[in-house]
Amino acid sequence: MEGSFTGKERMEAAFRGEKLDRQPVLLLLGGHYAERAGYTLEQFFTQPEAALETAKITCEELDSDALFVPLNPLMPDAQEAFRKLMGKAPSIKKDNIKEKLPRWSVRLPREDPLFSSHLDMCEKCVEVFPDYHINTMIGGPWSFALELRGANEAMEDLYDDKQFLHDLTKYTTDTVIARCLAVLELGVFPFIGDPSAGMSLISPAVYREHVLPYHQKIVEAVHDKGGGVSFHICGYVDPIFQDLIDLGIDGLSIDGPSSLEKLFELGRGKTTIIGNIDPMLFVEGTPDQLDEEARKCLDIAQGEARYVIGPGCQIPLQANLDNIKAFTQACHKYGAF
Amino acid sequence: MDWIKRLHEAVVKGQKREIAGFAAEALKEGMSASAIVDEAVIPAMNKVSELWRNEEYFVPEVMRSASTMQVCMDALKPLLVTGEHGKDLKVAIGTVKGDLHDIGKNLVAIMLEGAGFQVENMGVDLPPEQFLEAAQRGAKVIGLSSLLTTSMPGMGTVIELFETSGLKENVTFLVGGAPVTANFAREIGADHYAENAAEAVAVLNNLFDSDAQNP
Repeated sequence: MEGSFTGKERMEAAFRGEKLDRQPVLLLLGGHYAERAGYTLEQFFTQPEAALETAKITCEELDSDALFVPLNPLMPDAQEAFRKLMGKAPSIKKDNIKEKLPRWSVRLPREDPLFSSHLDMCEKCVEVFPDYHINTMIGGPWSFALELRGANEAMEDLYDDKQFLHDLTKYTTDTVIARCLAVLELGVFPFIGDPSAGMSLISPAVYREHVLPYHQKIVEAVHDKGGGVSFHICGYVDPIFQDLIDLGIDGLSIDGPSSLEKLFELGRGKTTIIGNIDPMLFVEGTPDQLDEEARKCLDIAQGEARYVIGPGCQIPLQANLDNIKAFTQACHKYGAF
Repeated sequence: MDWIKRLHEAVVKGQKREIAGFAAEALKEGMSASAIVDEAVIPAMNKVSELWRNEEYFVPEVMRSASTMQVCMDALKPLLVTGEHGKDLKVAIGTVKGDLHDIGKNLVAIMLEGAGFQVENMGVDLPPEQFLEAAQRGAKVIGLSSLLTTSMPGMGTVIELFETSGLKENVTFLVGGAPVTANFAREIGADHYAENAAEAVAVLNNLFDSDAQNP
C-alpha cells in the first residue's frame, strides 16, 4: 500500500474524526476484476477461492482503503449470477405471508446456508487483508420486508394494513440485527443497504413511521456491543438527512441523486459521510470526468476528517476499469490533508 | 352531494374501497359517466401529478391514487361511449429479462391507462421475444423497464431483436428505470426516455397528438 498508513488505519481515523495522511477511499465493487484474476463471474459469485483471489487482485490494482467481503448473496450484482445459475431471477416473495408470519422465528445467521458461507468468507477476508477496513453489505429491514411481501402489496399495506407492515419489519429488523452482530464478532464492519427506504420510493413521512424506528433499533443493538455501523439508502434521501444524522450512525453513504453539499451543511463532523459519485459515470464517463468529480467532492468536503470519498452506490459490473483506476488515483492525488 | 368534489377527493386521497360506491351514487343522481371522468377523475390525477412534482406525494401515494382511479374507471367502463376517452394507441410494457422489479413499471401502466391508452402490462423478467410478439399483436409503443444495472443491457437486446426482425420502424421504444439515463437510451437506439411515470404519460400524449395531427 502507498504511504505509511494502512487503509484500515485511515478508515478508523475517519470514523473517529482524526486525520492521517489523506481522505480514505471506499469503493463498492464486486466481480469487476474476476476476469483479471482468471475467473468467470459465475465462479466469482459461487466459489470462495475465486472470490478471494478476485478481491486480492482488486486490492492490488486499486490500492483503495477498504473492501466489501465478496460471496455476498445480498449484493445487487450477485442477483444476475444467481439468475443465470438458477435459470430465473431469484425472488424471496412469500405467498400467504400474513398467515405465515406469526409462526416465523428469526433464523440464526449460521442456520442460513447462504449467509453462513458468507460468514466463512468474512473470516477469511479478515485473515487475508489485515491492512484493509473490511465491510460487508447487509440488506436493510425495510427493503427485506418489501422483498418478502412484494413491493406492490406493501404499498397497499401502507393504507390497508399498517400493523402487518410493522410486524413484518420487526421480524426483518431482528434478522438484520442478528446478522450485524454475527459479522461484528468476526471483526467485519456492517454496512446496512436499505435501497427501498429512500424518497425515490417512499415519502419522508412513511420513512419516519415505518423505517426510522427499526433503523434506530439496529444502531442501538450494534452500539450496545461496542461496534459501529454504516447505512446506505439508494437514490434521493435529502429530506431525511437530519433523521439519518440523528440516528447516531457511524457512517452515512449517499447515492448520486442526493446532495453532498446539503449533507455537509447538516452533518459535518456528526457522522462520517461517504460518497457520492454517480455510479453510472464509471460506465458512461471518461477518466477525465472521474478525475473532475473526485475533485468536486473533495472541494465540498474541505478536508473534513469525517469524510470518505467513493461512488454513490455499487459500481456497475459493466464499468470501464480505467475509470475506476483513474478515480482512485484522483482521490489519492487530491485528497491529501 | 357535490359528487364531483367527492370523487375528486377520493382519487387524490386514495380512497380505493369507497370510490366504486361513490361512482354508483353519482350515476344514480343523474351524473353521466363521461362527466365523472372529465370533471373529477382526470383533474384529480392532474392534481396528483402536481403533488408528485412538488414532492408532497411519492410513489406509494401516486400508486394508491392511480389504482383508485382504475377502480373508478373499471366501474364506469360499461357506460362510457367506446372511443370517447380512449386513445387509439396500444402500449405494451414490461420489465426486461433478469429483473423482477415492477413497481415503477406498474405505475406507468396504470397512469397510461388513466390517460386513455390501451395498455398491455406484460409483467417482469421478460425475454426479448415476448416484446416482439406484443408488437405482432398490434402494440405500437414498447415500454421497457429496468431497475438493475445488470439487466439494463437487456433493453438494447430487445431493440436489436426488432432491428434484425425488420420491425423497429413499426414501433416506438420508451425506456425508463432508476439506473437508466437519457444518454443510455440514445446509445441503445430507444426513441424516448422518461424519468418517471408522469413524464412517460407526457411523452406518449405528445406522440399521440403528433400522430393525430400528421396521420
